[in-house]
Amino acid sequence: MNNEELWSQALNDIELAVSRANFVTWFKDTHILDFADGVVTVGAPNGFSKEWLENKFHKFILKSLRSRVPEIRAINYSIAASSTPQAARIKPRKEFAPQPEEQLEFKDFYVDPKTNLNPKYALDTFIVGSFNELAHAAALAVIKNPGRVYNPLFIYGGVGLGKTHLLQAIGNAILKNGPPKKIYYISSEKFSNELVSSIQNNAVHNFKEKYRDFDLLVVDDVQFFSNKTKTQEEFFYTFNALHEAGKQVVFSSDRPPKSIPDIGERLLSRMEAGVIVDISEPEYESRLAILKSKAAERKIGLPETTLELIAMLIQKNIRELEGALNTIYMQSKYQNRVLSNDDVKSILSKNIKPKNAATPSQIIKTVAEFYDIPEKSIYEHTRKTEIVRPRQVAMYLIREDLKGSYPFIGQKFGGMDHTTAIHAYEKIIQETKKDSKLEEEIKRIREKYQNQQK
Amino acid sequence: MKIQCLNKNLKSAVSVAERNTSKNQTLPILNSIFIGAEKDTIKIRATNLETAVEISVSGKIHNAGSVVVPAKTINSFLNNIPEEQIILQVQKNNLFIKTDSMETIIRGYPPEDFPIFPKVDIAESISMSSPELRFSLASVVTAASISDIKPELASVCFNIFKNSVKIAATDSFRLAEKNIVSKETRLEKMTSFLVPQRSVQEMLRLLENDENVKLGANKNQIIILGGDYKFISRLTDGKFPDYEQIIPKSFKTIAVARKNDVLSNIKLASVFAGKLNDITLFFSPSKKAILMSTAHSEVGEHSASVSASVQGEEVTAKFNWRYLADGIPQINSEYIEFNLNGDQSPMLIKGKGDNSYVYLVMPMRGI
Repeated sequence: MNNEELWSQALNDIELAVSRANFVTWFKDTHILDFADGVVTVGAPNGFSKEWLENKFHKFILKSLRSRVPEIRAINYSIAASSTPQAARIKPRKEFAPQPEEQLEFKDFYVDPKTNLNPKYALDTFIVGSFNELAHAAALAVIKNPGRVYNPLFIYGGVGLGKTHLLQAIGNAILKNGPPKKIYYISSEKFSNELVSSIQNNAVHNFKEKYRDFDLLVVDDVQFFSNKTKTQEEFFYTFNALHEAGKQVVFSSDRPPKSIPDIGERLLSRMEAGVIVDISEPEYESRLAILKSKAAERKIGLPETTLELIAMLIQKNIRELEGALNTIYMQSKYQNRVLSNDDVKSILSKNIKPKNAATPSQIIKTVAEFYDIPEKSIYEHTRKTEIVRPRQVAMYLIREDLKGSYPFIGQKFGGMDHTTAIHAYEKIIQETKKDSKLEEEIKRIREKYQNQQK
Repeated sequence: MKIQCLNKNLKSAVSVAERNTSKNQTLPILNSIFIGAEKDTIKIRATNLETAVEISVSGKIHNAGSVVVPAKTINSFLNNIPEEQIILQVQKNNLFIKTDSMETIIRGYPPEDFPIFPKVDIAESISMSSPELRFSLASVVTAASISDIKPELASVCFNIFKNSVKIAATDSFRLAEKNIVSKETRLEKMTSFLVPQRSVQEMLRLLENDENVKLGANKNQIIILGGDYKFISRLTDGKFPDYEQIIPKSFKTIAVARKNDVLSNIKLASVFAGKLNDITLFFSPSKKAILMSTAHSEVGEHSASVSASVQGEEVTAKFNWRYLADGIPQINSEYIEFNLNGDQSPMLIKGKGDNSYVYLVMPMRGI
């Protein structure tokens, strides 16, 4: 007979012996907290119940417990707040009016202090499309069997594509589904800051113990570990301890592990040991589905055509997509009318960063800077590999992003033949398929010159 | 039991006690008060199982004893009798009152059925002046949530360490924090607990006397000991948000204006506020003013300018005027300071040159 059964049988006896009102008031939310060496500890929801049980019902309780388990010698009482608010309710002073959507809240206020997870990131609100289905499937497998399959799970992808959402959803789902587990979500930057302050306070030991205790550790944005040798080392030990104990670890980053600069070989190989999945940019249908779900969630009433247009115009980033949705909704609400497609276009054109406005010279300059070669050497007719590769990359980018014609590109690079440009373009396409490092480099170069535009 | 006391004293004690009774249907004794006479004190007790209060009343005790009677009945009775002095006696479980002109019996309950007050063991307590505690609690509780969905937000958070007492409350849209330095307190251990907002409202009423009170808490309860009363409340079980991180340290716009000007103008503008209670504030360094505007599609439109010294970037932000009107009166300075970081970040309001009270409010979305 376990404690629960024992207590419910005892309650059956007590219920017969006391009045209904007394029973409901004093025995509601009571339970056996502990039973050891003949001493039972009964938990009461508040101080009044505790006093009452102790002073008025002690004999009853003792008798009925003893009739079932004769070796019980004594009963202790203690206050153990139940999860639901108990006791008498006083009517609120005034009716509670729900906050309008327009009122902003303090950021990150609803983060659960125990797990650091934000409950708003749920798996059901995560839209799955071809761009992220692999990551989603891997996440589901981890949720089903934490620590067994795919350990560690490494998810990477660009900004605003839902990495954090997926990561937190894994934590929230495991928290909700299975038996209680110790789960913790942390960004690599916070991990580092915590380590530094624990060193300052001479509490590294506590720090170590804290992190080795989790059943699931989710580390967001691990690319910020780069250049932090001490943090990497500490994290390496934490990771090993968790991994050996069969605890699940999940990482995210904006690039694959190999492309994270200045990360120790040991840590790198650990990150790659499990499974690595990427989240790419959503295609039109997924963007539209995301918009629709966001609009439904926030009760934003916008016509289908407007949503379609937003999905068409904003192509890369889900966060931007959400921003655009908000802007359009606010505008239409403010002007109190349904916005036409042209209105939407003109509003969004102010907000969308023009992606293709870089000039060929800017691209060349950025490429030269990135590969650390003198800009003018790109224009030279040389076959040195350290020059050839950047030149090909620059040609590829001008072709891809600016839609420059091959003869134009050839001319731009000191009067080369247009076939050279064609060759360069095709070669880079080929290479990126094989070499993820190159792909990463190109992405970063792109980010650089696109960000200069602001 | 037979006691004799001044109606005035009894009346005020009973009305305080009545507020702490409950309308519990299952256990009717909870809407009653306990009157007990032991040795040389008369004590009135009431509880709703969340809060409990015990008030001492001066009077003459002929016989010790106790009685439990419905709070509403005895309160209405005491409010309507002309006598200055009354004599209370117990007959069985009923209260018997006899004067020259009347005889009254109030039906009661067996005193042994009245809830036993929990013992509150407190390792350390702090001593504070009652008006100061009252003023501080009042200035903070206004920001607490009144919905019970998140119990920790429907509470006031106390943080006591050494001689500083920090109290804070937030409903996630605004936050108020008061810092009190208590000269007589030196707690070595950091103590932190959450008191339900409703209990704080009751504390405000009790803290009216100009005296020093003692305050202490254990894991589950807080206790306040005043000159003639003892108040116990359960604590909220939960963790208050880590709010200190959201209080910004640097600002892009700082404006200083006269408190009364701001307040009267907000109230004036509120007449024309829309359904969302929104008021637009424009902080203009060049105009040396805060421009306030409101518009209601049916009522009309209004705009006004409050002279202020504004430094930094100009900024326009929209707020719920009620939140402003809740927080600003709590500031005890002639001039108040608005600190902003754009139209999407919290605005911090405090007295000029006074950091003991800060009120943080989130703007509303929109243009």
